[in-house]
Formats: sequence, structure tokens, C-alpha cells
Amino acid sequence: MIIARNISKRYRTAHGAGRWVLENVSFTIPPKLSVGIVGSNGAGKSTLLRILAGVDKPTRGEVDRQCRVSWPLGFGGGLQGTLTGRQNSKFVCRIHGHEDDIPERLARIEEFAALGKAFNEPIRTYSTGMTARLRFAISLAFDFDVYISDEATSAGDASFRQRAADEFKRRANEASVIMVSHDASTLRRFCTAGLYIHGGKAHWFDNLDDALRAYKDTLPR
Amino acid sequence: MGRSVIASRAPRSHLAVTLGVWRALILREAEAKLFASRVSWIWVLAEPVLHVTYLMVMYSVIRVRKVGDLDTAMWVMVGLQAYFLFRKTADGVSTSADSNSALFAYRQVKPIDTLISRALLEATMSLVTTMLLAGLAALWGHEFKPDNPLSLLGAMAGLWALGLGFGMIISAATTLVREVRLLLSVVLRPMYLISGVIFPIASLARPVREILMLNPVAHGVEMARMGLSSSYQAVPETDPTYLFMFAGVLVFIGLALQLRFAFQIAER
Repeated sequence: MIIARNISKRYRTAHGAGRWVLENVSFTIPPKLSVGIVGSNGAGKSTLLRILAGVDKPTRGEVDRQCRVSWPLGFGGGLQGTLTGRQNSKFVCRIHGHEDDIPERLARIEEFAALGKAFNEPIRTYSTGMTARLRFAISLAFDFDVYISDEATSAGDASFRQRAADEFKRRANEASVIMVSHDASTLRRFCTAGLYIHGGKAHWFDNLDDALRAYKDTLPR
Repeated sequence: MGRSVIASRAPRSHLAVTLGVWRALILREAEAKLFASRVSWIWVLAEPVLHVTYLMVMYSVIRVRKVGDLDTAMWVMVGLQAYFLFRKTADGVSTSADSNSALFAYRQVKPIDTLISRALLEATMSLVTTMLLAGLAALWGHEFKPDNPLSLLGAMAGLWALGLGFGMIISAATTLVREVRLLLSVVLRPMYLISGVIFPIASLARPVREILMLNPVAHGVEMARMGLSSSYQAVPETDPTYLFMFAGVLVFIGLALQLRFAFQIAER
């Protein structure tokens, strides 16, 4: 369960405090409910994800995470280009406190990413799709209750996307996902509820389709 | 993935998380440094060793044989290693948050973790290069045999803490005012000369000495040499308390600033 209480966020800019990206947003995400976040570019979707993941701090308000939440998948950072896929995976295992079962987890990551020999090559030699696969595989090696995904599932080729979706389905009993995507079919595949962000406010919909409809209604025709 | 999901455990304590993160960061950075290319591990060690060896040869062969009753080669080596420990720690710590900013995507990693693990890594590197240098010097007939190893270690610890505190302050300050980094290089460059690393402060007139000894690094450098030989004639103004007080205050201010501006540092 994730509870957001009166979250407001604004960033510092070169000219002092910026506009309010989010204003007094409150909601509760029940356990095992997957939520799709929709809204136009710059509406604050990624900001909200970062705050929910605990990577960013709201200017006001607080987030109560009563479960294990992943880091925001799909962000550029987190991997070191000169190190190999294996070395990077090891690092993530270590910061999550899995010092003793690193070999098993590495085996899981290697198997799921299916990068072949490239797993032992420096990441800077990877293509965008390969990096995304590795990133996704690393996150699946840990049993989070909630996965935070910023367009992460759209990475990789068709067969990898299918495997990722299957893996999430398989875990549907234990894990849920909070995701941002501009692709309605991706959202429908994973999520049941929807959160529509507009003008700094968040509107909760128990049904994803209602959120998508609300979003479409505000678009200029 | 046919294997069953590996059972998860009870939440870790804050201390356990932090120690795990430090370990991971140190190993990661060491790997990145040593294996950036095929021979980079040689270069990481050879660069400081060559720098110090060069100056040791220059001073002991071309100039004088003894400084303040201490073998010149040893005088140069210990002085440089002591100074570099401060300099590299300060430099590394102040840029660490910037170079590791990608890792703040993981909730467990806080800016201060990257700073502290960088400082620990620099200390380890300094230890390794000092041992290499001591070995080389021994082959060349200059014995590295500290009369008072504990006070040598104490001086090194003081300089390390000084570098850590200074680096933490600069790291926080650059977040608020970017131009501070320029100021840093202006301050650090003459430090090499005024800290008594390559010329003896003891040979200067008293008024000049008193001004130069306001610099805590000079105290640390002299203390390290005092640890090497009990008959070494150090600068009379050398005062361990001054170094440790200075270091303590800088570390405290640095930690306070890091705590206060943790999110601004992670955000940039």
C-alpha cells in the first residue's frame, strides 16, 4: 500500500523557485492494484513516479510506503558504462543487501536479459535496446511489491516485451506496477486503475478506461 | 524463468543498508578505476608512484642529503604522500556526488554515501602507493622505518579527515553556487607550495612561519615526518591539536551541510 498525503512539488530553477508541478495531491494505492498514470508531457507524471519511488522528495507533504518499492525503471541512470553487465548487476544486488546470494541472482538476471556473451562486455558497447533489457532484468531479480515503471516496458524488441509482460502476469498475485506510458494498449495490458494528472492535480479513476477518456477529453480536437 | 522466486527477508536496519551501500560503491568504483582499459590498473598505481619517485630522486641526488636530520628521499616521500592524501581525498570527495549522480536513482544511495566511500577508496589507494614507494625506496637503499608508526598513522588520519571535511563542504557549496569549484582550484594549487611539501618551512623566518602554520595541512605534513624519525627537527609551531581540531570542525560542518542539502545535491 502506498499513501500519498498532500504532495506538492516544485523545482528550483535558475530564477528561484519554479511553478508548482504538483499541488496538494493525495491518494492511496491499495496492495496489488496496478495503476497507469496518464497526462500530457510536462504534467508531472515522471515527477510523481520519482516521489513515489522515494528518489525525489516532495516540497510539501509525505509518502508512506508500506511495501517494497522498486527504483524507477526506465530512467537513464544507474549503470556504469565502463563496467560489464555482470559487474553492474552485482552492484545493484549489493546495495539491496543480497551479498550472500549474488550468484543465484546474477544467474536470474543473465537468463532473463538473454544478452548472451554481451553480459560480460562493458555496457557502453550495448545498444539502447540491450541496455533496457539488462535494466529490466535486474529489476526483476528482486521481489518488489510494487514496480515503478517510466516507459520501461516499451523497451526491447517484440519478443522481449512479450516475456516481460508474461513475467509481470505470472507475478500478478505478489506484485503490482505503477506505470507511465503514452501507449494506451500497454497501459491496458498491465493496469486496472488510472491516475490522470492535469494542472498539478491528480484525479483517481478506479477504471483505467475512465482515466484515458478523461485525458482524451481535454486534448484539443 | 522456471526457478521459484527467492524468498525475501526481513527489512534490514539502517546501518546494514548504509554499510552495504558503502561496500557496493567502493567495490564498484575500484573496479571502474582499475579496469577502465586493459592497463589502467598499472596506471592508477604508477602515476602517483612515478610522481613521488621523480621528486625523491631530484631532491636527494641533486640537492641536499638531509633535511632537519632526516634522509631527504624519505622527507620528500612522506611529505608528498601526506599531502596527496589530503589533496586527493578533498578533490575526490568534492566531485563524487556529481560523478555518481546516476546512482541516486536507487533510493538506498544517498550523496553522502558516495562521498564517504570515495574517501575510503582514496585512503586505501594512498596506503597501497605508500607501501609500493617504501619497497622501491628500500631497494634503492633508503630504509622506510618509522620510529613512531602510530604518530605517522595519526597524522595521515588527520589529513584524511581534513580532506573529507573540506571535500564535503565544497560538494555542498557547489550545489548552491557553481563557481565555488573555480575557487577550489585557486586555493588548492598553491597549497602544494605553502604546506612545506617540497621545501622546509622550518628554514623560514619566524613571522613567515607563523603565517604559513595557520594552514592545517602544513601541521599534518610535519607531523607525518616527526613520526618517521624522533630526531627530526620539525617546525617548532607544529601542533597536532590544531590539525585534529581543524579536521573535526570541517567534518562537522561538512556533515551538517550534506544533511541539510542532501536532496539539492542529489537533484542537480
